[in-house]
Amino acid sequence: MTAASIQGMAPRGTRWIGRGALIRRLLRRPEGLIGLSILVVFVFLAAIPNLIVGPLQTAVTATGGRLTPPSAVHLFGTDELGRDVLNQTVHGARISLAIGLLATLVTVAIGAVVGIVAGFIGGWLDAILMRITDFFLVLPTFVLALILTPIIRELVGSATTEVFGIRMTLIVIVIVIGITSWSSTARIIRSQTLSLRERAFVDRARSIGAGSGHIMRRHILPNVINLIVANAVLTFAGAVLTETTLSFVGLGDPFQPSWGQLLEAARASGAPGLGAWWYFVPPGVCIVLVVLAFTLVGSALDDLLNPKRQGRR
Amino acid sequence: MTASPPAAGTRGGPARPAPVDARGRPLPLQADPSQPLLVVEGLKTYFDLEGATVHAVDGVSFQLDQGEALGIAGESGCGKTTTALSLVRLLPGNARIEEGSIRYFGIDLVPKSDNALRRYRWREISIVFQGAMNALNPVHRLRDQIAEPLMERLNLSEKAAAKRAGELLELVGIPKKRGGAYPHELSGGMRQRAMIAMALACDPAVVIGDEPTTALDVMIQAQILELLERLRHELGLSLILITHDLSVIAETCDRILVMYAGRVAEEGAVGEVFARPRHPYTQKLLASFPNISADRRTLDVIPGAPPDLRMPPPGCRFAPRCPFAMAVCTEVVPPEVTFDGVRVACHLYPPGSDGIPITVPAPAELGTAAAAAPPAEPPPELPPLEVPTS
Amino acid sequence: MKVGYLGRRLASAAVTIVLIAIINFILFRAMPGSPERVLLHGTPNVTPQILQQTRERWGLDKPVFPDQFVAYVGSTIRGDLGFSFLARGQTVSEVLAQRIWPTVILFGLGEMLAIVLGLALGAYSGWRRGGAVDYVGNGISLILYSTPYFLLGMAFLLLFATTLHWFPTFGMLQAGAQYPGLWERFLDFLGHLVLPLATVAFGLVGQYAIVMRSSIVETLSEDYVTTARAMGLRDGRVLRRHALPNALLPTVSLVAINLGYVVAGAITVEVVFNWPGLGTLAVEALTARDYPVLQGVFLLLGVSVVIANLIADLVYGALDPRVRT
Repeated sequence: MTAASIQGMAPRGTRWIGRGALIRRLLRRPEGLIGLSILVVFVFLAAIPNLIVGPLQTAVTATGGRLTPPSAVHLFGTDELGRDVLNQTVHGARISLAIGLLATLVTVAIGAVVGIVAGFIGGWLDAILMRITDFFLVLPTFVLALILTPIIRELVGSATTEVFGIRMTLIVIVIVIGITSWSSTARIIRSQTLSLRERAFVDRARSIGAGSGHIMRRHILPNVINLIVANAVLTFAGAVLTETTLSFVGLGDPFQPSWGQLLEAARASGAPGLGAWWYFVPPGVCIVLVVLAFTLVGSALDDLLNPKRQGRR
Repeated sequence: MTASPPAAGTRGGPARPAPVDARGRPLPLQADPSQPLLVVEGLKTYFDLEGATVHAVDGVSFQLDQGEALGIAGESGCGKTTTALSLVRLLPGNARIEEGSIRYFGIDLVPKSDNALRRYRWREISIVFQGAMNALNPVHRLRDQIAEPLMERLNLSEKAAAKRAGELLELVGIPKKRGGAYPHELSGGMRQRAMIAMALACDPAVVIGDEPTTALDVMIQAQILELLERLRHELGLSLILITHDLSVIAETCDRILVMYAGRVAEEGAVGEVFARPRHPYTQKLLASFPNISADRRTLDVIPGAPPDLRMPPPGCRFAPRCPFAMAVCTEVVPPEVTFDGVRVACHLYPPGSDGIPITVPAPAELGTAAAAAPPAEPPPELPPLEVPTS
Repeated sequence: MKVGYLGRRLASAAVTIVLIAIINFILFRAMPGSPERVLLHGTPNVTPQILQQTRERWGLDKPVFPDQFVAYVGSTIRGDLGFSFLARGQTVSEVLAQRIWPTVILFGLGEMLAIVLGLALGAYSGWRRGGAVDYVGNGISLILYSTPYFLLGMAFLLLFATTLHWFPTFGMLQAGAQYPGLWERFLDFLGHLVLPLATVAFGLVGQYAIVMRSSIVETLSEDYVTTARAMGLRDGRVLRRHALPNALLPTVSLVAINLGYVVAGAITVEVVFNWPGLGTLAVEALTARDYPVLQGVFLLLGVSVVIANLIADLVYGALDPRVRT
């Protein structure tokens, strides 16, 4: 009996047991520890911004002078409308992270479905899906996002519904990021699916008459979950960066400023040229920290889960 | 080789002739042809891991004479590959040769600096790795890879190197025109032949084969072994074959060295050791190979696992798994004893022994004794399956 | 052998370009407002006659598919991408032509700098694992990788232009300046180029260094490197002839895959420094709803990325014989 065939006969539930142990192993690595700590801080800020800095200041409720440097009253100074930059930045955490999360969910959902279906069904469906995937990989998706966003916004109209507290204008960005970013996830999931397809437990399932959909859902999916999670973490980093960049070119929402939107406002008011570093450095540093944290955790997870990398260190 | 004239400006005295070996091959100037080809004494190679030291090779000694083929056998992790890599110091960064000497025609290689050692690599001792996928560089053509040591180490011109590369390919049975191929275009057997051709490029005295046939199927294995034999006799090479496959050693080697957990268990002429294995580990090793002409029986399995070399047990390292273990085995390291042309490290053969093991009345409690176990029962007969007919 | 690989890559690139054109066409249709109004937006004195002419010219009175599509493809191939709203009277092609060179210079130079520096740094880090250079370099690369390019640009601007006054803050050339000669003009151009170029180069260096480093580390543990060392070859030769050619392969792939993202960075860096290239054009077009220009940019950038990918594929094929068969 080879080790592979014994593994192949593992009952479906066993994969889930490793989750707690995984987190502990992750924390033991320095990059995992640093990354997770940073994330915990920001999730905390994003969850209860009102408790920390009060409600989001608008032009009406601004409390300070225009573009004043940091002081005891305003720890990060004020922006061009007198709003407290600390206040804006902390609220920005909620917006940026929420958009990042939603966009990641969309991206990973599309990518995982495409990857599993393409990898499992194979044949012409695989070929077509991969062609589309490669196309999206090559495309300058950012420019596509630039064009798509106003178009979809027009289509959606000026609905004022909110999803998870995020306005429709930004939900459009979520959708656009999802549409343009799923390809690398799809590729990764597909290769894992391809190797899983050859394993013994799939043959067993087939021989007792299980259909493809059933096998994909209940046998392949649990085994790629770990990979999806690792990939999702890295995707999150990318989503935050993409949203930031889209906001920076003017597609953000001034009423729900994400960090990218704050940076855009800073640029538009001439902050770098005027020396008003306090306006863009805090949101900027937050972006770098969050993306760095996700990248560290994602790469640590990848190290832990990727069998080829184990034993290399 | 004739004696070379003294270099201008050297101090007076008789000119020393350039040393040559039995085949007439020129040797490094410091070499002493009257000494044996290779003498390894008390070699200890340790690996430094986080917080622990692995005693991978812990006091190994052996000798290789000119034209001899020595097989080093043992299970994975016993230190045979590390021993071989230590000879040319191809060890990873966290490994070091702790103790011991490696004398090549009398020249001790251990104290030499890395730069000084380079002289000996490939030109005196070369290695054939387990061929498989990656021992050859995938982006270079075959003939370029063979020509490289010729140009870099022997300073041949490009043309001369290309010509010799072609000759080497033919020597190992690869048509010259296949030299332009890339490694991925060749079969496993051809890749292994190519590696052998590369190993012979600088006309070394010793070729070390590290599991040279393990990755190949049996038919190709036979071809490669035949090739090695032929080359050995045609070129007068000395061979060190490292493998866990005893049949390979039985077929091609003159002497066998059995290693266990970083130490030598037994060493001797192949015929003697195979016919009369002395060390219990050797006996078990031989017994665990199926013999096509013997009676059918269930295969012997050695219970347990090799020791953790970060904290090897005191005394004999095989004691925990040995059916003949005595009290002294777990306390004192068995000394190496020689008789009948065989060298054994086992308390069953104390110093002065003539080859007859000390009689052991009963297996000790510590030994996982399989000797007294009853023969395995045949599996119970199942009733015939009732197949409904309709 | 090589011809087959080349042929396949060309065919693939051609198909991708066609797909880009198709997407462009669909977007054209999906734009808010009717096409002919979009085309004529900004043109003064639009009479029903002009409207009708436009319709005919663009085949808008005919069914969408295949007629309109064919007309669209035809005019695109001829280089007729319509008229820009913002720049009255100018065709999209003219507008694009004006703005393409600053972008090519900035990004061409930036990529080359980043590739050379990143590969060198990564190779050195990988070769001497655990050294001070390795840790520091790795840390900096990681931070740079997490920083959006424009943020880096803003920081540079603040530091070197506003505070230290070493470099000018905006644009490519001093607005309205008169230059005594070509040399002075060139110097001014260089002065303006430094900060945006540094931004692009620093932004990209991190990724290339990281990938090259891990690639070298993995390559150095391969059997053929051990064989090369067993042959007694000098360390330098082992690195150059055995490790590097294999370690370059993932890096080339990365450069190709990255191009899509680099474009995003391109646009934003130009915006920060007001560099008059395709990036600022795209953002201006976005703000002014100048859709024809925006789509022109998309087409141009898309085709450029496809061609760049093709070149990267060919380079990869030259480096790795395994894909050529």
